[in-house]
Amino acid sequence: MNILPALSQGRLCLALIPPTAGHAWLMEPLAVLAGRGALRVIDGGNHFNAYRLAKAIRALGFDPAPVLERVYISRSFTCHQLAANLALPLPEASPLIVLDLLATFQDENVSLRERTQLFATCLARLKKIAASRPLLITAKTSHTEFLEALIANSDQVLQMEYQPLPVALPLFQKS
Amino acid sequence: MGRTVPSITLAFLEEQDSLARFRRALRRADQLSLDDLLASARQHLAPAAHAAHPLPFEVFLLAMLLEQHKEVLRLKAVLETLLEE
Repeated sequence: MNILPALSQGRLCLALIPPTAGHAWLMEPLAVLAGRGALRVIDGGNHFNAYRLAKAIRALGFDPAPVLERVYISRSFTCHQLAANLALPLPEASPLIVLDLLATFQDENVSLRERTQLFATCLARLKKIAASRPLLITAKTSHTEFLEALIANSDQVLQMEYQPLPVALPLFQKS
Repeated sequence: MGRTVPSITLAFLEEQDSLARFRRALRRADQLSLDDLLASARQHLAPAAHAAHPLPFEVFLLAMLLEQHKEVLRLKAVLETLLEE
Protein backbone atom coordinates (compact mmCIF):
# COMPACT_ATOMS: atom_id res chain seq x y z
CA MET A 1 0.00 0.00 0.00
CA ASN A 2 1.54 3.31 -1.09
CA ILE A 3 0.50 5.84 1.53
CA LEU A 4 2.80 8.67 0.48
CA PRO A 5 0.32 10.39 -1.90
CA ALA A 6 -2.26 10.40 0.92
CA LEU A 7 0.09 12.16 3.33
CA SER A 8 -0.36 15.90 3.17
CA GLN A 9 -0.46 18.79 5.58
CA GLY A 10 -3.85 19.59 7.07
CA ARG A 11 -5.27 16.08 6.73
CA LEU A 12 -5.56 13.42 9.38
CA CYS A 13 -4.81 10.23 7.50
CA LEU A 14 -5.74 6.88 9.05
CA ALA A 15 -4.59 3.47 7.84
CA LEU A 16 -6.67 0.54 9.08
CA ILE A 17 -4.76 -2.70 9.21
CA PRO A 18 -5.99 -6.25 9.79
CA PRO A 19 -5.27 -7.74 13.24
CA THR A 20 -2.69 -10.24 11.99
CA ALA A 21 -0.83 -7.85 9.67
CA GLY A 22 2.36 -6.24 10.91
CA HIS A 23 3.88 -2.92 9.94
CA ALA A 24 6.46 -4.26 7.46
CA TRP A 25 4.50 -2.62 4.58
CA LEU A 26 5.11 0.78 6.18
CA MET A 27 8.90 0.53 6.17
CA GLU A 28 9.38 1.59 2.55
CA PRO A 29 7.26 4.78 2.87
CA LEU A 30 9.02 5.52 6.18
CA ALA A 31 12.40 5.11 4.48
CA VAL A 32 11.33 7.57 1.74
CA LEU A 33 10.16 10.10 4.36
CA ALA A 34 13.34 9.68 6.43
CA GLY A 35 15.38 10.15 3.26
CA ARG A 36 13.73 13.56 2.79
CA GLY A 37 14.32 14.85 6.33
CA ALA A 38 13.46 14.48 9.99
CA LEU A 39 10.72 12.00 10.86
CA ARG A 40 8.95 11.43 14.15
CA VAL A 41 7.39 8.06 15.01
CA ILE A 42 5.23 7.40 18.05
CA ASP A 43 4.86 3.68 18.56
CA GLY A 44 1.76 2.67 20.50
CA GLY A 45 1.95 -1.07 19.91
CA ASN A 46 5.70 -1.76 20.06
CA HIS A 47 5.74 -2.54 16.32
CA PHE A 48 8.63 -0.40 15.11
CA ASN A 49 11.59 -2.45 13.90
CA ALA A 50 14.63 -0.29 13.17
CA TYR A 51 16.43 -3.14 11.39
CA ARG A 52 13.62 -3.42 8.82
CA LEU A 53 13.69 0.33 8.32
CA ALA A 54 17.48 0.19 7.85
CA LYS A 55 17.00 -2.47 5.15
CA ALA A 56 14.37 -0.34 3.40
CA ILE A 57 16.70 2.67 3.51
CA ARG A 58 19.53 0.61 2.01
CA ALA A 59 17.15 -0.66 -0.70
CA LEU A 60 16.54 2.97 -1.69
CA GLY A 61 20.29 3.43 -2.10
CA PHE A 62 20.94 5.51 1.02
CA ASP A 63 23.47 4.88 3.77
CA PRO A 64 21.23 3.74 6.68
CA ALA A 65 23.23 5.28 9.57
CA PRO A 66 22.84 9.02 8.74
CA VAL A 67 19.22 8.55 7.62
CA LEU A 68 18.33 6.69 10.84
CA GLU A 69 19.80 9.64 12.77
CA ARG A 70 16.87 11.69 11.50
CA VAL A 71 14.21 9.27 12.79
CA TYR A 72 12.97 10.13 16.28
CA ILE A 73 11.02 7.34 17.88
CA SER A 74 8.99 7.35 21.10
CA ARG A 75 7.36 4.22 22.44
CA SER A 76 4.19 4.36 24.49
CA PHE A 77 3.16 1.49 26.71
CA THR A 78 0.14 3.16 28.33
CA CYS A 79 -2.48 5.60 27.07
CA HIS A 80 -1.08 8.21 29.48
CA GLN A 81 2.37 7.88 27.88
CA LEU A 82 0.79 8.17 24.45
CA ALA A 83 -0.98 11.38 25.39
CA ALA A 84 2.27 12.72 26.87
CA ASN A 85 4.22 11.78 23.72
CA LEU A 86 1.72 13.62 21.55
CA ALA A 87 2.28 16.73 23.65
CA LEU A 88 6.05 16.70 23.05
CA PRO A 89 7.44 19.40 20.73
CA LEU A 90 8.08 18.13 17.20
CA PRO A 91 10.94 18.93 14.82
CA GLU A 92 10.03 21.70 12.38
CA ALA A 93 7.49 20.53 9.75
CA SER A 94 8.56 16.89 10.04
CA PRO A 95 5.93 14.23 9.32
CA LEU A 96 4.52 12.34 12.28
CA ILE A 97 3.60 8.66 12.15
CA VAL A 98 1.61 7.13 15.01
CA LEU A 99 1.74 3.35 14.97
CA ASP A 100 -1.16 1.37 16.43
CA LEU A 101 -2.75 4.33 18.16
CA LEU A 102 -5.56 2.36 19.78
CA ALA A 103 -3.45 -0.45 21.30
CA THR A 104 -2.82 1.34 24.58
CA PHE A 105 -6.48 2.36 24.82
CA GLN A 106 -7.58 -1.30 25.12
CA ASP A 107 -6.04 -1.49 28.61
CA GLU A 108 -8.78 -2.55 31.03
CA ASN A 109 -6.65 -1.52 34.02
CA VAL A 110 -7.47 2.07 33.13
CA SER A 111 -11.10 3.03 33.68
CA LEU A 112 -13.23 3.60 30.59
CA ARG A 113 -13.99 7.16 31.72
CA GLU A 114 -10.27 7.94 31.96
CA ARG A 115 -9.52 6.30 28.62
CA THR A 116 -12.35 8.20 26.95
CA GLN A 117 -11.01 11.44 28.38
CA LEU A 118 -7.45 10.64 27.27
CA PHE A 119 -8.62 9.60 23.83
CA ALA A 120 -10.41 12.93 23.39
CA THR A 121 -7.22 14.73 24.48
CA CYS A 122 -5.13 12.70 22.03
CA LEU A 123 -7.60 13.32 19.21
CA ALA A 124 -7.51 17.07 19.82
CA ARG A 125 -3.69 17.01 19.84
CA LEU A 126 -3.60 14.93 16.66
CA LYS A 127 -5.90 17.36 14.86
CA LYS A 128 -3.68 20.25 15.93
CA ILE A 129 -0.57 18.38 14.74
CA ALA A 130 -2.25 17.44 11.42
CA ALA A 131 -2.84 21.13 10.70
CA SER A 132 0.89 21.83 10.64
CA ARG A 133 2.48 18.68 9.17
CA PRO A 134 1.71 15.38 7.39
CA LEU A 135 0.29 12.90 9.86
CA LEU A 136 -0.40 9.19 9.48
CA ILE A 137 -2.07 7.06 12.12
CA THR A 138 -2.31 3.30 11.94
CA ALA A 139 -4.91 1.32 13.87
CA LYS A 140 -5.76 -2.35 13.98
CA THR A 141 -9.33 -3.23 13.13
CA SER A 142 -9.42 -5.63 16.09
CA HIS A 143 -9.07 -2.70 18.52
CA THR A 144 -12.75 -1.90 18.42
CA GLU A 145 -12.92 0.53 21.33
CA PHE A 146 -12.66 4.10 20.02
CA LEU A 147 -12.19 2.85 16.44
CA GLU A 148 -15.44 4.38 15.18
CA ALA A 149 -14.62 7.72 16.79
CA LEU A 150 -11.16 7.65 15.22
CA ILE A 151 -12.57 6.89 11.76
CA ALA A 152 -15.18 9.63 12.15
CA ASN A 153 -12.49 12.19 13.00
CA SER A 154 -10.13 11.20 10.17
CA ASP A 155 -10.02 13.11 6.89
CA GLN A 156 -8.89 10.08 4.92
CA VAL A 157 -9.20 6.40 5.78
CA LEU A 158 -7.11 3.78 4.01
CA GLN A 159 -8.04 0.15 4.42
CA MET A 160 -5.30 -2.43 4.09
CA GLU A 161 -6.33 -5.77 2.67
CA TYR A 162 -5.04 -8.87 4.35
CA GLN A 163 -2.89 -11.00 2.07
CA PRO A 164 -1.73 -14.17 3.79
CA LEU A 165 1.73 -15.44 2.91
CA PRO A 166 1.79 -18.37 0.47
CA VAL A 167 2.01 -21.66 2.31
CA ALA A 168 4.31 -24.38 0.97
CA LEU A 169 2.22 -27.52 0.69
CA PRO A 170 3.81 -30.80 1.79
CA LEU A 171 4.84 -33.05 -1.10
CA PHE A 172 3.71 -36.20 0.63
CA GLN A 173 0.87 -36.81 3.01
CA LYS A 174 2.05 -38.14 6.36
CA SER A 175 0.32 -41.41 7.20
CA MET B 1 11.02 -0.06 29.21
CA GLY B 2 11.28 -1.91 25.93
CA ARG B 3 14.14 -2.10 23.47
CA THR B 4 15.15 0.37 20.79
CA VAL B 5 15.87 -2.52 18.43
CA PRO B 6 15.04 -6.24 18.60
CA SER B 7 17.73 -8.37 20.28
CA ILE B 8 20.52 -9.64 18.04
CA THR B 9 19.27 -13.23 18.49
CA LEU B 10 15.84 -12.21 17.20
CA ALA B 11 17.45 -10.36 14.29
CA PHE B 12 19.51 -13.47 13.52
CA LEU B 13 16.46 -15.74 13.62
CA GLU B 14 14.59 -13.33 11.35
CA GLU B 15 17.45 -13.38 8.84
CA GLN B 16 17.59 -17.17 9.07
CA ASP B 17 13.83 -17.37 8.42
CA SER B 18 14.18 -15.10 5.41
CA LEU B 19 16.58 -17.67 3.93
CA ALA B 20 14.15 -20.56 4.43
CA ARG B 21 12.91 -20.57 0.83
CA PHE B 22 16.48 -20.37 -0.50
CA ARG B 23 17.48 -23.24 1.78
CA ARG B 24 14.55 -25.35 0.60
CA ALA B 25 15.67 -24.98 -3.01
CA LEU B 26 19.21 -26.20 -2.28
CA ARG B 27 20.43 -29.77 -2.54
CA ARG B 28 20.66 -31.65 0.74
CA ALA B 29 24.48 -31.39 0.90
CA ASP B 30 24.30 -27.65 0.23
CA GLN B 31 21.59 -27.26 2.86
CA LEU B 32 23.95 -28.79 5.42
CA SER B 33 26.75 -26.44 4.31
CA LEU B 34 24.41 -23.47 4.67
CA ASP B 35 23.42 -24.67 8.14
CA ASP B 36 27.14 -24.83 9.00
CA LEU B 37 27.63 -21.26 7.78
CA LEU B 38 24.70 -20.01 9.83
CA ALA B 39 25.96 -21.92 12.87
CA SER B 40 29.35 -20.24 12.48
CA ALA B 41 27.64 -16.83 12.44
CA ARG B 42 25.64 -17.77 15.53
CA GLN B 43 28.90 -18.22 17.44
CA HIS B 44 29.51 -14.48 17.13
CA LEU B 45 26.17 -13.09 18.22
CA ALA B 46 27.62 -11.30 21.24
CA PRO B 47 30.18 -9.31 19.18
CA ALA B 48 27.46 -8.69 16.57
CA ALA B 49 25.24 -7.22 19.29
CA HIS B 50 28.13 -5.05 20.45
CA ALA B 51 28.65 -3.80 16.87
CA ALA B 52 25.08 -2.36 16.89
CA HIS B 53 25.15 -2.22 13.09
CA PRO B 54 21.96 -0.99 11.39
CA LEU B 55 22.19 -3.95 8.99
CA PRO B 56 23.07 -6.93 11.21
CA PHE B 57 23.15 -9.36 8.29
CA GLU B 58 26.36 -7.68 7.10
CA VAL B 59 27.92 -8.49 10.48
CA PHE B 60 26.63 -12.07 10.27
CA LEU B 61 28.27 -12.42 6.84
CA LEU B 62 31.54 -11.10 8.27
CA ALA B 63 31.25 -13.60 11.13
CA MET B 64 30.84 -16.42 8.57
CA LEU B 65 33.87 -15.12 6.67
CA LEU B 66 35.84 -14.97 9.92
CA GLU B 67 35.13 -18.62 10.65
CA GLN B 68 36.02 -19.55 7.06
CA HIS B 69 39.31 -17.68 7.37
CA LYS B 70 40.10 -19.39 10.67
CA GLU B 71 39.51 -22.71 8.95
CA VAL B 72 41.78 -21.73 6.03
CA LEU B 73 44.54 -20.73 8.47
CA ARG B 74 44.14 -23.99 10.38
CA LEU B 75 44.32 -26.06 7.18
CA LYS B 76 47.33 -24.03 6.00
CA ALA B 77 49.13 -24.81 9.24
CA VAL B 78 48.30 -28.52 8.87
CA LEU B 79 49.54 -28.50 5.26
CA GLU B 80 52.80 -26.79 6.21
CA THR B 81 53.38 -29.38 8.94
CA LEU B 82 52.77 -32.19 6.47
CA LEU B 83 55.11 -30.66 3.89
CA GLU B 84 57.87 -30.30 6.50
CA GLU B 85 57.63 -33.99 7.38
